[in-house]
Amino acid sequence: MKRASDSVDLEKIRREAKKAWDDLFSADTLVCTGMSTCGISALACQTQDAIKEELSGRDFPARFMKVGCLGLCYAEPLVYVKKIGMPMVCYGYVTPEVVPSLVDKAILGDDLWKERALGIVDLPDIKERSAQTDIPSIWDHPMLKPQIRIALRNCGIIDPESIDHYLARGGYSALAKALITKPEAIIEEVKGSGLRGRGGAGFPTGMKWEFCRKARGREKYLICNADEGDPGAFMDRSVLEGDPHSVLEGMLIAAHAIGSTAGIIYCRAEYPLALQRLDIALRQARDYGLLGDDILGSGMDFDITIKEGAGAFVCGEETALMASIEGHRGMPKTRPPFPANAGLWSKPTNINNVETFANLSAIINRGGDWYNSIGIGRSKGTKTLSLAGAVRRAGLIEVPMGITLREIIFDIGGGIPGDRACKGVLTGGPSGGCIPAAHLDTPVDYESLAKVGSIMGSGSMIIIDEGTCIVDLARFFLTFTQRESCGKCTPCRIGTRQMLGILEKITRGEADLSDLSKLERLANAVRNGSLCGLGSTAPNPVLTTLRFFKSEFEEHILRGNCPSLVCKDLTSFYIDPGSCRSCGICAESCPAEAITGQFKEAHVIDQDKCIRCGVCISVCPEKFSAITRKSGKKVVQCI
Amino acid sequence: MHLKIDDVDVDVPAGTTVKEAAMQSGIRIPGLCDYSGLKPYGGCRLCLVEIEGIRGFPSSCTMPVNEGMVVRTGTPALLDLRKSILEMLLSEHPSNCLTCERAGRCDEAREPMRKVPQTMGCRYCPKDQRCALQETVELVGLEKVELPHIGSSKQVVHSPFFDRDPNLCILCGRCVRACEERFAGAISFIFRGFEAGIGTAFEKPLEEVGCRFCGACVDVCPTGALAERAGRWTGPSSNVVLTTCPFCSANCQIGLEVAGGKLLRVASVGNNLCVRGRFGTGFVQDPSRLKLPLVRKNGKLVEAGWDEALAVAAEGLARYTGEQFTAITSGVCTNEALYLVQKFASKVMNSVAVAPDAISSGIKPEDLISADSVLVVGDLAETNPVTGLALRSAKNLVVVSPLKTDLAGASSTWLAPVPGQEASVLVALNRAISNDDPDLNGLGVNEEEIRNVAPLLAGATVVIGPDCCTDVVVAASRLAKALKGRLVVLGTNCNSQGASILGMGRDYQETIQAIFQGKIKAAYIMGSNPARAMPELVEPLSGLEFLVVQDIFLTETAKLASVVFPAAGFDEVDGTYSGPGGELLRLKKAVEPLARSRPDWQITAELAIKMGAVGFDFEGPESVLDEMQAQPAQNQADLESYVLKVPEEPSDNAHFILTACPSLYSFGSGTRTSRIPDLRYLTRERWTEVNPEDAKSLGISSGDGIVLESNKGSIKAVSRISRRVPRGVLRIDLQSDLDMIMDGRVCNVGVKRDV
Repeated sequence: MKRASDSVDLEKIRREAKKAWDDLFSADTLVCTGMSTCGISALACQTQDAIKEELSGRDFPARFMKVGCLGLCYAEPLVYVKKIGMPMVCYGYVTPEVVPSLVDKAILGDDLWKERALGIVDLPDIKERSAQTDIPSIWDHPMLKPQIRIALRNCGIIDPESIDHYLARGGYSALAKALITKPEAIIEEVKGSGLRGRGGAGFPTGMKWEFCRKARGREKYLICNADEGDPGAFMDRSVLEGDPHSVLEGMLIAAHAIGSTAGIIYCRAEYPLALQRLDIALRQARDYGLLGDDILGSGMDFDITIKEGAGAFVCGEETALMASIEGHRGMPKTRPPFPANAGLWSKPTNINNVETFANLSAIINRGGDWYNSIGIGRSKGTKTLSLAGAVRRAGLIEVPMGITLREIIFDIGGGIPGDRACKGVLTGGPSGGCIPAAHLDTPVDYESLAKVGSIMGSGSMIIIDEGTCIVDLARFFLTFTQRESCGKCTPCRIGTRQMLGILEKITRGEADLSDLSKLERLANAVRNGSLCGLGSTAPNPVLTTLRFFKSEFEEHILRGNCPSLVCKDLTSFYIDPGSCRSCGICAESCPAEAITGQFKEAHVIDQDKCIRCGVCISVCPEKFSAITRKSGKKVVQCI
Repeated sequence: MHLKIDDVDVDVPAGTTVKEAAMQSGIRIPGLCDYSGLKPYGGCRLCLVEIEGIRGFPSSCTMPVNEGMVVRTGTPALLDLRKSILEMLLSEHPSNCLTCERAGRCDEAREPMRKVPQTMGCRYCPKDQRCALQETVELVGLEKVELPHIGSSKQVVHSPFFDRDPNLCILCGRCVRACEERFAGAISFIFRGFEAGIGTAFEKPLEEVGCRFCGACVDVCPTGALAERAGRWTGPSSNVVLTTCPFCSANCQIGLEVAGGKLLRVASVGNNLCVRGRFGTGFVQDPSRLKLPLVRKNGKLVEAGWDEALAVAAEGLARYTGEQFTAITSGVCTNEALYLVQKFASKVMNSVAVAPDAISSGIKPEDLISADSVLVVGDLAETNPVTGLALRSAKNLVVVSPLKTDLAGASSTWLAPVPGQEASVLVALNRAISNDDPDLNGLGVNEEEIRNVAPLLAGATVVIGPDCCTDVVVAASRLAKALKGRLVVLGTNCNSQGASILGMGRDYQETIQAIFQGKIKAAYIMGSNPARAMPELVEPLSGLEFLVVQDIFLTETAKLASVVFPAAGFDEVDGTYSGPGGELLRLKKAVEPLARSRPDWQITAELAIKMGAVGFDFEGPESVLDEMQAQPAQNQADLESYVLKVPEEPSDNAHFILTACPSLYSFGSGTRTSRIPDLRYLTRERWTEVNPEDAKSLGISSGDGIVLESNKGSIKAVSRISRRVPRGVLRIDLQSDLDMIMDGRVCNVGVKRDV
């Protein structure tokens, strides 16, 4: 078995791994499939099976490899094909039905199937480059070009279940370097890099480590927070699924810096693939002597265990997370004492987020100054973001701090689908705020986002278009936070419920203007009075929408009008008598039997019976498009 | 630490919270989750303050003071925030009365409205005027609740002794913390979001999740969410009388809540109590209490006046002086009563007074709790729960117990002998200490365990529970001597120590023998129910020529009497008990004696006077005590010459060892505790604890009917799967009728399913 007893050993192992890695691209045809959760849910497994099946009877030597998420989630399943003497081509939308053509053209044939190619995966280790073809490099793809990939450096490139791949790409060299560096010097380096906690709060990582390093106590715990819970956030999942060793290496560096001997990864049980790949990575690291006793002959003992979270959003809050590890109900505690002094089992504890750890090896290898040169103001380096919602190219990206929201949405994300206009963007998930389209030139960094009332948060970015009702959006997020409140403190438990009640009243058209001031008063009390971050940030979606979209609230209240035609109680369906060809399909499909009409007679919807399910719109033949939705004053229509 | 709170300079020690510091300087900060003695929580958010240099509004109940801190407790922002938060809280709590302008002035409408099944406002609430919300509303200055009421109508959860009304719960978590701090952990938060509440695992009944019904949760609950059913409809008490619990020898202080000359309920006086002290004292209000003296006429006991009864008793007893007479009492009675019975027996009857429980040699509770190294035999969680709880925090706790008792679970070393071999383990420890070869054959404890623990015990306090037999007491006393440590023999009853000081244990065994042999012709039995505790005594007792019984109930023993005197209850008399360290503990009269009942000491004195004796003319219990304290010390029972019995070897044909142990819910012979309906409910079946593995192989599950069969006979019982018992051992609650199958506390039995 390969086991590195010191850094010389490690280099020996790395050389072997590098050779195997290089061989991957110079031998028989290599077919890589993006097999993170995004790919798998787009049927990547079936795609790979179909390719194997197609090739099975043909005596065509091919090797298969799984890779993590490259970030182009909108185009999943992604398949890369590398043939001898050819560059590695990345194809998008390779669903099982497409496989016969892919095999025919791109694997068996000599055609690179340019129409389906997203780009050439140019890697330093592959001789054949994009320049040989008329297909551009994948790194010039509009979604990837503006990115700087540090935390995601290996995602979508290596097999996440292979420590050798990680080593071949330079993995664990930062650990070897760190182990011969004084902990204090590492902390200085991390401080100098300007790295701040990527979990949301943005506390300077180096300072946090210093507190824990200086805390008294022989036992110190290091926790990796992988309890990513924001709806629409999948950055940490992708890192864990695509490059788990980058997180382990980061934890090892941190453990050395703070003097910890025990690490725990707290990962939510809803991430089964991440857990499985973490488990594999931990076993590999132990086998290679990178975890356990006397790591690389440095005298440092450190091991990591996994603790599965049971699905409570609040357990992403560090004190609740630690209570959960201890076997208690996940409920936050007040600080002080701070975890750095009395955290898990009342021992000094340092807790960082997955992405924070994934950045560390690059900082150690290339220096804090290099990292510090990226970014803007007090926000240094890069940030991974998950793009979701009304955007053409949804996926996972890593951008330098300071890039504007507009660049992200339009250059990287490709803008809004259809002819709709961008209404705004929600950053920071349910704890964040809604930034209106007028502020799209806001740079993405901790301070600028805070200035417009939102937060960076863990990095989820949900783009909304004019089809989204602002009141309904605020209601949606409040429903989430209200359900996920642990129940410990009054403002969060009851205040959010009362706020939700008012929002529901507005969506039903039953509110009056005084409700808006009540909502604002409640929101401020919840923000100022709550014990932990869950409660104190829960009003953010409400406060920011009230600030930027007040007229839409007023429109609901004063005119009973939901401009986006979302709020059911304020929206009605009508059949335009001029367009209706009395085909009767709507009447047949209506579950409430609300539509009546005779042959050759325009159909009519009985508003009292209508449950506003929208089935009629979806069945009305497109050439007629006779059914419309309206909000505001009701149209009087005779039955 | 020096800090400034609202421009007031405050000096407090480090570790104080900002809220405590404010309170010390007379600044009141509201708060509902904070409770003295419980861990800080910071959940209700009413005690928020502003502190210079700290962002936002930290909760003062969790914030430790820092040197030079500048705190503001009453800025407009804070006052407004507190009002908002309290308003939220009240929007899910019935709040009409709390913010009603006529609050507290609607008395005329109050009485009938109390009895509605659901609490809609303060006037209907069992904690009215004991509720922290009422105070807080005033302190915060909240005048109205504008938020819509969003409280849902949840089912009230009924448990023995108390109810949980989730509609009144404000989720302060005090009950959860109180339960955790008593190591029960029976309740916790359940669900999340607005559905969050307090409950048990899988919403099981409390008795199935480890609740011991100590009532700490009820004591700390700031609202009516947790309220005892006793006195639920009677309103608040007018005063609280501090007295001593009448059950075990822990001698806990309890508060008797009284209103209108009636006892409402027991309140904790800031200390830990157990179910008996907290909820078990209602026996004094049982309708079957004796109200008048009874005299046997034509074979039947009929009510009589005091004069007549005293005359009949005096005349009857006068015929049996000397050895044909005995007086039997117990440590249930006050020092004054015990002393006068003893004086009566010796001075008037020329005989002795004995008590079965006069074995107790203690030290002051504070010395016991502070002992570093403690060796415990006996299940204190059942017999002396509050002492047991305190001993959990001993630095080095060694427990000798065949069962995994509460203390065994908390111990640093647990020696688990075969039931009945406890004394032999103590002997083995003694031999190991003196470097002799410990003989461990058949004990169930191995030599390594003994050798490992022996050196840890030097100077240890050896604590023997009241459930231990004489052999254990003797072995323990010899062990304590060898260890140069102290011996603590916990008495059975609240005043076993008093009976022991009076030397009432010396002649007890002989007296009982004499009764069996028919040598005794007449007896005076006070505060003792031997006919229930030892059913085999019924026959000899009915054979007595003259029997006077003095009790609060018509007990099994009283039913055999010629004359029965009705005694006053523990809450109806002044007097003293002797604590384990010999200190005097007061018993204070909270209510008048029931009907014509009289204090024990007074009845005995009157009987003596009736018989023409002098020296029984006392002004009150104080003068009895003065005389008692002037007496020379009595000789104690001699343990030196006691020869330890050799325990019986288990016979081969029986599969299980059945051990009978005292239960928390049934005290002594159960004369008093069986009068409490909820205690009866908790002991409604003859539960027999079976190890899960044994249950599997026997094919029985919890609640199944089983038959226990010994050489002596068989009884029906109900199984309860429990990890407290090891394989091959069954535990049964000690009950008087176990003599059907066993003679001592341990016997061999076969088990089968009852079909």
